[in-house]
Formats: sequence, structure tokens, C-alpha cells
Amino acid sequence: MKILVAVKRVVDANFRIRVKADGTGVELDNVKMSMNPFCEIAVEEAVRLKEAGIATEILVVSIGPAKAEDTLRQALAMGADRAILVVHDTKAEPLGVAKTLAAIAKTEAPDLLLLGKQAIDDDSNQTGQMLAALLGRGQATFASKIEIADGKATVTREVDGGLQTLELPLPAVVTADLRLNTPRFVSLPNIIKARAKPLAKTTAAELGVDLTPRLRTLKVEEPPAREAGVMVGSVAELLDKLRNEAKVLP
Amino acid sequence: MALPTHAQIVVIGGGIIGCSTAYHLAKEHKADVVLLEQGKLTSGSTWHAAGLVGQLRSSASITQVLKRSVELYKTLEAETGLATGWKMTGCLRLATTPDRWTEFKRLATTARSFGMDMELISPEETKKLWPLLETSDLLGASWLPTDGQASPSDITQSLAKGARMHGARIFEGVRVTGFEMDGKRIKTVLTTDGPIACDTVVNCGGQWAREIGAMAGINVPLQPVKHQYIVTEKLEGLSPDAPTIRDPDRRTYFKEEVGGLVMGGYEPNPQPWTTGDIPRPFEFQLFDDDWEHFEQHLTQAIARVPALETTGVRQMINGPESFTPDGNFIMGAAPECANMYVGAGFNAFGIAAGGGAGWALAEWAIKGEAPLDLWVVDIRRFSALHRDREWVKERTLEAYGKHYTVGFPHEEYESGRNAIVSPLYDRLKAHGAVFGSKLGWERPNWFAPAGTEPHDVYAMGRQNWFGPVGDEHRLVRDSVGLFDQSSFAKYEVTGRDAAAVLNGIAANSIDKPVGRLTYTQLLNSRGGIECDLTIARLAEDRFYIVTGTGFRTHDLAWIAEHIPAGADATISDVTEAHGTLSLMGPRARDVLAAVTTADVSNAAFPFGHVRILPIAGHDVRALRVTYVGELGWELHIPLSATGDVFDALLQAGKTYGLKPVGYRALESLRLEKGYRAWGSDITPNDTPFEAGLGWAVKLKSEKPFIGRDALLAKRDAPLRKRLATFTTEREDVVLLGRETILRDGAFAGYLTSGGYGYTVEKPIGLGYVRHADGVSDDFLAGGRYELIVANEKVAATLHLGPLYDPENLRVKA
Repeated sequence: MKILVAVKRVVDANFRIRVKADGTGVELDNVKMSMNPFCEIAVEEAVRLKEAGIATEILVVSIGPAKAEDTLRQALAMGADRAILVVHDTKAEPLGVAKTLAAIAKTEAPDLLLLGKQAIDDDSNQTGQMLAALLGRGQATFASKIEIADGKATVTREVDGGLQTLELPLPAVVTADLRLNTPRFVSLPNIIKARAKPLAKTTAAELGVDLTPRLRTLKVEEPPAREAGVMVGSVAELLDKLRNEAKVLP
Repeated sequence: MALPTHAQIVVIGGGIIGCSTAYHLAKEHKADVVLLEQGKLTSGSTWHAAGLVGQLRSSASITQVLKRSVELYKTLEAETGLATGWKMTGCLRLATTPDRWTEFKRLATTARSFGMDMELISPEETKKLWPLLETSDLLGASWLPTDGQASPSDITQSLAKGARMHGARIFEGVRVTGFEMDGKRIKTVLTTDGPIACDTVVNCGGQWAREIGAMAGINVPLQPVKHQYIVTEKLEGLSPDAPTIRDPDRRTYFKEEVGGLVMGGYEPNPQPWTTGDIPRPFEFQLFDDDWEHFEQHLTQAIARVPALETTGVRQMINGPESFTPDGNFIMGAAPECANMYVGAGFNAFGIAAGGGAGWALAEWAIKGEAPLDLWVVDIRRFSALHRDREWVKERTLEAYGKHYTVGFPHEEYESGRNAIVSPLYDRLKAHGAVFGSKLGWERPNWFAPAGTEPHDVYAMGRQNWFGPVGDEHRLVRDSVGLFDQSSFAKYEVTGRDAAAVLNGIAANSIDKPVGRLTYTQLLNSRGGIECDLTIARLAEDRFYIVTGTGFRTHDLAWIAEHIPAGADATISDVTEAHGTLSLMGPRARDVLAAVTTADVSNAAFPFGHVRILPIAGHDVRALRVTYVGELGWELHIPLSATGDVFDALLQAGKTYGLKPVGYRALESLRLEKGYRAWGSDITPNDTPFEAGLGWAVKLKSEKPFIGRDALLAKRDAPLRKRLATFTTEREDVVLLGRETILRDGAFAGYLTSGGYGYTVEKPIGLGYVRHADGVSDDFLAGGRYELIVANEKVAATLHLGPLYDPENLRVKA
């Protein structure tokens, strides 16, 4: 079984996001970039399926600038077999990314397409859904457990108020949620080996996909700064403030 | 808390250096201190420092500063309640090659000289201390049990708390935007939150220090370099007290951290960050993981710690660290500004240095004088050359790349060469000159005779130039040689008050008749030697000062800042106005007489005088002085005429075999004569009495001068140390300086210079003999001496006077 995993290069989750001074987007210069944490969970799941003898090949794909090669190498170090980088220097929107992945899926014919549920930079949570629609395949989003057997995926997903279990015929699209697994730390030899694994580069144009943005960003702004706290003198005062100022108590 | 409108001292930068400086200023000097941090405390580069704390450096004073850090980190928690994470784990350095092992033997000797106990241990003993190490390729290791590690952020927060406890005010999120100047003086610090008037500014801006300095007109030549390390998952069997490891032959280091390892390295191909301004904001920021670049360290690390084969990497840290062109940090008063002190460019040992450097910087900023000899880190060791950012970058990267290479004696840098050349460069090259570099100047170290490759071949023992330099040495002793010393720093002091002002700065009397030269020291208020130079009186109101190449900025600044306000005396740097040729040797007069019509007899032109001589159609200022102990003259020539005079001298000197001679011969010649070198034999830690230069101090004259009171107080007290010359009969011994002196088998000091004397045919060292109860002539003469050289005891002889021509007959011939 072949698994295609999509990964995105985003601002590292441990660092504070800053809005550009002109309000056109997020500051990316001199900012540490890493693999989107949900993508990392997707890669980990694919590697576990391979280690369990279920998957035979893991292909990782990223759409982004040349530096996204680092992100793909990270996935290769975790255990993916080969990578495709669709070199694209400007912002790619979920629909464009979904179309690109669909184009690759047509030639690669994976049995399972694993994605993160969303990227932490724009929180779109759309690519997996769009990709399933473009391919005309089933989808299971927010997966917290995946089982593969007999050409079917049984996926437990986290929904409001509980868990929902779906069964999908393969090929299918599954997006990973936080509790699906805890990604491994890669070992030093695997980091070195990953540098020798095959990585192909292509472009959206070569794949026949138009990545021109269809959305217009009007403004990006930081959330209002949190106001300084005050020391309260007594429990009574605290309750009073919670009731009458914060209005969180009846 | 609102920003105050005035403070005695404003410290810029809330990293470990700034917080330590503020702490010491507030605690020990009760100063009114405001610290400004543009982001959050530690957010520049302190927060991502690896936290290794080593103490041993090649300078005794810097080692003392680092020891002070450790003392502080041990005790700070008791004072502030905030832990520093200090763990005395010890440090292992691993050796896999014979050259490295020799280096460690010398290192262990240096450690002993500086009062630290470094052992050299076998691979088996190394394995016992660190069982996860692969030791099959080791020759051994050095073991310094008192080194350790600490938590950079915790120390900084603890220091900040201590500073606040003693009254310092710390402001985060306040950026300095400029300075309001009154001439060379900062009046007001301008910030994003308003202006603060102040008396003194301390620039601890880390990688921003250069930009901050530039706003006050000063140059802080540092270069941020991307330094990477990884943090691994837990390793089975790794003790929480595991020593830190430096594995220089594999260019890597290790440190235990929560059961895993921190591993980083110093690669030969480092990656600079910007040579321009640092982008803003840059708080708690890192660069992308660069595994491609880091792979070289991974391979080496796995070979050394095989357990890493199966250990995961939790995190990669790729952050900028400030490095400098010579690997030493930058401290002290910038010459271009009257009241800005700098503490920056810590070359990734800011954590090791922080505690002590903050103490030193606080003393310096309060008293206007460094508390001990900090020459190797003094900001005045740089020159205009260091304003060239590309030059600084190239040299800094070379220094970074050599961080873990074997340090060969006499090694020269390869980058940034030929920055400044004398007018004789091509002529000297044609004579086979092998050049070294000093403050950007290309200077001939030695001349390769026909059949010898004109370049240094480095080795831990005798190097390829040893023979040829001996020939140069003997030429000067037996006949005559010619040194190109055009790189000498030269100043002119002019004005109605010039004589009075210089007499108040110099320890020796310079108020002599026109035409006389004075060799003198300039002292600090403790009586320590700040400068060592020659002053020639050209006219009643005009003096010419000559000092060493490397001291150009330092000595100029020292004199300039001690010219009293309102005095009619001006100092100007005229270094590039004159080429300098030193014609030295018993035949020097014969050669000089052949090229000038002037009378150069001993009666007409005695020692210690300056005259104008016509040579080859040019007026040449001749100073009868020597640093080699022979008859000779320093000829100061209008720069463009240097070539003409050189040619005329060589032509006239043919009969005597006159040839150009290099700086390495100069070194052996001066050692035989016991002439002191500033920066090693005589430093701000040493008084003229201790250095045997009491004869050059005008104590009897009643004339005031800087340091006089301190010397008067010491005049009748026993000297606790005295400079002496040492020789050994062991021809094969290589002396480099820092070898331990033993008197009757007990520690008595260490060498400050070492080399070989080709006339006395012995290795020679200079060094202070120390004894708390006083060092008298009898004490000196009464001992049995040995030197520890590369961890081996060698019998030695102490000499109270020069080895060569103690009567000075040759100099005054």
C-alpha cells in the first residue's frame, strides 16, 4: 500500500507570530520555520503503518519555496521513502494546494492520502476536504485513530460531544488531529540517511495547476494586547469583579 | 514604573552581560543604574546559549575573570533565591593526535601557572568518567574538575533580581534610538520611551552592540555567526553529573541536559549572519534548522558517542552568536567616545565570562580604569581597519573555524591579509620575506634564504624558520641588519603645555632638552604599566612618540584621555607619515656614515638622542635607540622616501653583509637583552618596581605623574613579585610563555615570554618570581629553579640581569 502525505512549512510553533508592520500578512523574515505539527502527526502515522507492515511506500509532498526541502527532509528522516517538492514561492491557497495534490495523486495513485487537519499558520482546515472532493473519494477529517484492513480505513474522529467512527473504502483522504499519535524524534543516523533519499522537484505549471490566488487579504492584525492584571484584596472583591466587570459569573 | 529622566549609569542590553554589569554596579558601587532591554531579558542570544562554563584561557587575567564567574554562580542563589543551574561537572578535553596531546600538555602547564589543577588522564580513566564515550582512538584527555555548566536564562534572571535588590531599575521593551552628544560625550540616551540624561553608558547590546555603538560614533567590530547545536532525548546510562566534553579533533562539544545531550560544534566553514544591521524585532528568535550544514557534526558525534545511533533529536537550536576577529571578547572604553563602555562579542563564552566580565566592566565604568590587565579583550586593541565590515567578517570566520583546531605556536591568520603594507613590501618580498600580520600591517617575520620555501611550516616543536632566524640574529650581533618597522605607531604631541602634560602622564622625566629621547612607562593610578614607549623632544613644544604596532589605538587613547581639560596640548596620530627602518648592529655607524654627510660619531650623536640626518636626498629623523641591544638607529623617513633610503642603506651596507631582518629575530635579540614587551612582560598588573624598571621612574623629582602616589606607597614595601630571566641548558625545550616557575620545587610564578637566544644558545624565558613575603635579591639568588614545560620539569637558571651585554657597552658604543 502506498501512502501520500502532504506536509507544509510553517512558522515554528514555539515562536511568537508577528504581523507585518503594513498589515499585509505575517512576518516570515528571520523567523524559524518548521513542519506544521499536524503534518508531522500525519507523517508519523504513515511511518507507523509502514512499520506495522501495512504500508509499503510513503511519498511526502510539499508545495512551497526551495527551503521547503528542509521540511521534506525532516519527513524523510522520520521514515518516508521519497519526496516531491512543488516549488512555489508565493502563497498557495487551499484549493490550489488540493488541485496540486490531486494532480500528483493521479500519477502516483496512492491508496491513502494523509494530511494534517489544518496548518497552524492560516488555520484554513480546507485542503483535505477539497482534495477528497477533487478526487471523488471519501474523507475522514480530525482522525484520532486509523485502522487499515481489507481495502478499507476505519477512522475514529473527534467530534463535539464524543467520537465518531467511519469506515471508508480506499483510496481515501484522512486528516490527522492532535491525538492521533505523538511524533517521534528522529535519530542522528536517520537525519544523515534522509539527505540521500530521492527528492524530485517540479512546479505547479508542469502539473497543469494554476496556483494564482483567488482570495484577497484585506488586513492582518494582531489580537489586542492583554491588559495588565490587578491584585485583588479579598475573595469578595474577586467575586465582585468576576460578576460585575468580567461578567463571567451570574 | 516610568522611565526616569536621569540616571548615573545607563546599561543597554538585558542579556547576561548587561544584567551582570548592572548587578555589580548596584551592589558593589551603589551606583544609580538603569538597565534598558529592547525586548525581554535574555531574548537576544543569552536564552539560546548552550551553557558550558570553562575557565581556562591563555591570559591569566581573563582566566581570573572566568574564575570569578564560577564563584558568583555558586553563591548567587543564596543571595537572590533564584538558582543559576550551576553544576561543577568538570570538563574533559579529548586528544587523538600527538600534536593535540602536546597542546594539552602545554595547556595543563598553563593551568598550573594560573592556579588551576588540570590533570592529563588515560583513555581508560576517561572512559570511567564518561562511560558512553568511544575512547579507542584517544591518546588521552585533559581533566579540569572545577569547570562545569549552568543555565544561561536562570543566571541572568538571578542577576537581574540581585541588581533590583540593590536598587537597579530594569526596563524591558525600551529600545535605545540614539544619543544626544556634547562633542565626544554622551549627554542623553534617547529611547522609545523618552530621553534619559546620564553620566555613563555601558553598551552590553550583544549583536546589537555595533549598531548601538555606531550611534555614539564608536566601532564595535563583532560579527554574528550562526551557531547550531542539538538537544537529544534521554540517553540510557548518562549521568546527570557527566562532565562536559570538548572533542576538538572532531570539532564538537557535549553537555548533559535533562538526561540527554546538548551537542554542537565549530565547523571550518561557518555561516555568518548579516554584516548589516540586525533586523528588528529579533526576540527569542532562531534560524531554520540547517541539517545539511550540521551533518558534519552529526557524523563525528555518533563516532564519539555511539549511543546517539538510536537516540532521537528533540530540538535543533540555530541561533546567532557574536564573534570577533581574534576570538576574544570586547570590553572597555571606546576611544571615540568619552563615556561609553562596551561589553560585547563574547564568542560563545558569554555564560562562562558573564559573572566576571560584569564585575570588571562595572569597575572600569566607575573608575575609568580596568581593574586588572584586560588588554587581550580591550576594545582599544582594534583600529580603523576594524571598521571594514567585510574584513571583520572574513577574519572572524577564520577565527571561528580555528576554534577547535590545534593551536600551533607562531600561527598567523590567513584571511584579511595585505590590508596595510609598508612601502617596502615588494622589496622585502624579493628578499624572501615571510610576512605576519599585526593590526592589519604586513610585517616580515623572517626571510627565507635561497632554497627554503618562503612560508611557515607549523609544528609543535622547532619550526622551519628556526635556522634562518638564527642567521638573521647573528647578522645583527656580528655585523648589521635592517628591520622594516614602518608599522610602529607614531604620534606627535604639540602645544605650549605639551611638556608639562606629558611629564604628568609619563613615569619618567620627559622634560629634557630638545633632541633627547626618553624611554618611559605610562602608569595607571595603581602604578600598573599601561604603556611602554619612547618620547623624543623635537622642539620646546613638540614631541614625537613611538610605540608598538598593536598598541596604536590603546596608547593614543590613554594619552589623549589624560590630557587635562584646558591644557594647550594636542596629540595626533602620524603613523602613516613615516616609514621606519631600524639599522642595528656593531657596523650600523659605518653604514650610516656612508649614506649621510652628518656626523654620526658617538660624541656627535650619542645614545638617547634624536637628530635630522640627510640620507639619499631626504631629511630623515634618526632616533638613537635600540630594542636589540646593539649600536643602532631607528630612522623615521617621510613615507614616500622609505624606498630610497632602504636602497641607499642596502647599497652602502653590502661590505658588511647588511640584509633585511625580521620580527622573529627581533624577539630572540630582545629576550637576550631582557628588554620587556608590553602586554606580556609588563602589563597594567605590574609596577615598574616589579618589572625592574624603577630606574625609569622620576620619583625623586617631586613632579607629580599618574601612578606616583601608588608607587610611593609601594616604594618601601617588599615586592611580592619580580621579573627575572630564565635559561635552561636543555636545547630541545621550546619555551612559549606561561610555563610554570618552580623555586625549590614550589610554585613561584610563570613565564610571561619565552623563546630562544641564538647568541647565548639557550632557550630563554622572562617571568615574575612571586612570593607573598617579598622577593629580595637574596631570595631570588638563593633558590633552585625549575620550569615546567609541557608538563615536564626542566632545570633552569635564574638571571638577575640581561644575558647579553649587561654593561650596555654595545648599545652606547
